[in-house]
Amino acid sequence: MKFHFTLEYKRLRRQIEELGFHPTPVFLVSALLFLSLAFYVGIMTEKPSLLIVMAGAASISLAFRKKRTSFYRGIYSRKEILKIQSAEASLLAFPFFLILLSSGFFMHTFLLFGVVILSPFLFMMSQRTSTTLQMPPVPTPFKKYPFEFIQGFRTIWPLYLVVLFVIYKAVQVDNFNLGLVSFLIALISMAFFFTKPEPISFVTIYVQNAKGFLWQKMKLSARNMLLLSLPFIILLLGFFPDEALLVTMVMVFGLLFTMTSLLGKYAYFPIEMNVIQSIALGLCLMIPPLVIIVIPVFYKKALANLKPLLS
Amino acid sequence: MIEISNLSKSYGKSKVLENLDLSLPSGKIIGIVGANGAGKSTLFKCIHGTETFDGSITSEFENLRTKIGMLETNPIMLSLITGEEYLILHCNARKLPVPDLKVVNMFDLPLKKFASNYSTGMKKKLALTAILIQNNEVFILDEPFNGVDLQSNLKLKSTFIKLREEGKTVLISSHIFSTLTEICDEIHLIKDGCIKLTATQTNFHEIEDVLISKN
Repeated sequence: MKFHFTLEYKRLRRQIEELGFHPTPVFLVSALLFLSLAFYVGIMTEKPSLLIVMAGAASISLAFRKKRTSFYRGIYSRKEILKIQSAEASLLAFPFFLILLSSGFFMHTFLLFGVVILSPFLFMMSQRTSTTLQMPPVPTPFKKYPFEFIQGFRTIWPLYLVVLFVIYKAVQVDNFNLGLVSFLIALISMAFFFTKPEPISFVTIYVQNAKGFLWQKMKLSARNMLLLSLPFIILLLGFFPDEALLVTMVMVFGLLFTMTSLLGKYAYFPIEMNVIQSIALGLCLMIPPLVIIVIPVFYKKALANLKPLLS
Repeated sequence: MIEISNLSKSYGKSKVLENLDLSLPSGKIIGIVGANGAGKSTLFKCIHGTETFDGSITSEFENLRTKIGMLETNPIMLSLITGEEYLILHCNARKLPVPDLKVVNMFDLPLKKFASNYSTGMKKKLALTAILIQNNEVFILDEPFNGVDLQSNLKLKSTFIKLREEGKTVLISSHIFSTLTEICDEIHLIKDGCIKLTATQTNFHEIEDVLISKN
């Protein structure tokens, strides 16, 4: 166990170093950020206790990453994996316990404690069920290409059901903003279909040149995005026709943001999403007009990057 | 000796293994052949204890899982772990002392480098080295010869023969039938979820006949 945690700590340091930072300042800044957050929560009049529990629960999910678990399953017994994951979940939830306890939310602390205790068992059960059931592929309306939409849709289709439900609720309570935000979340999720690069052969099989390849990808992605957004657009425009301009603006931003993500992927292909890409995408989310500057930059870079692969 | 009886495993509606019976004696190299998707890897995972199943797998060992070393077709390597750390992790998992890694590094792997950057063959060699230094009693090897260079293949064969001499059980699946006939004491053909044919060195050709006639 001791070596396991020493190794995981080493991996964390190496991950930070790979991003080009020294681990010690990153740890210090993270601790400071966390303390500031704790202080901010402390002085808030209406404390977001449930949000803290949810953030704690989300951080616990890091202990259950699929590839990592498969790796350890080959080395440790089920009992040992349960022990390791319980310890990791407790470590990850520890800062959130501190915030909850210092704010006097004992019930919420107990709730998070329950999540920490149960999560390794639930994860193990879910893994058993998923290998035993082997669900058939979820049908998609995206035909053969681009594969990103088929793959992405099959990964997060339940999110679209939730978004659809929230928009339906927004219509019921006549809250357009709620519907619009849900629609935006759905659009942003589509941009994340393009964050992971495919194997090189998925690119070299094309007979087009780099320009043709990129334009075809963009056209098909735009078409698929519109197809996937159609139910949300119909609901929003059908019940809030006066807000057509806002819905169109959000749709256009969603399209441009996805193009940024797509071009960003090929600008650094076949390397996985790097710091520059992540920062660019993050900034575009915070300051949407930035996409107009980032898209041409990524397009040029992607064109140059793909030229040796596509002639 | 490992006794497998009435082993069944399904994925959803598809039955992969159905009432499979098999004995794996100690000091033998046992080959498993079968078409892609016949259930070889699933059988291996069931014996290794990483897959649930119906039926029973019994052995002379109190805790079989701690005596088995399994080499997967494509061993998973976590990022940012060196070959050396990978080997130490395997010793640590079994609470074994770490041997001199220069001595046990039989394939001359660059142990100071990240294992995830190794080639397919190198990853396989590293994973095999790891289960060898664990001093297991049972070795389950899923396609050990695939993606490995010629020289290492020869080394692998002699290693498996040495393990047999030490009284260990070696279970191998491979699509290279000639290699299996060279080193195995018995070969089993899996078809339709169970063992369809068992052959020993005197009648290995029967399995080959069945495989050829199928095509």
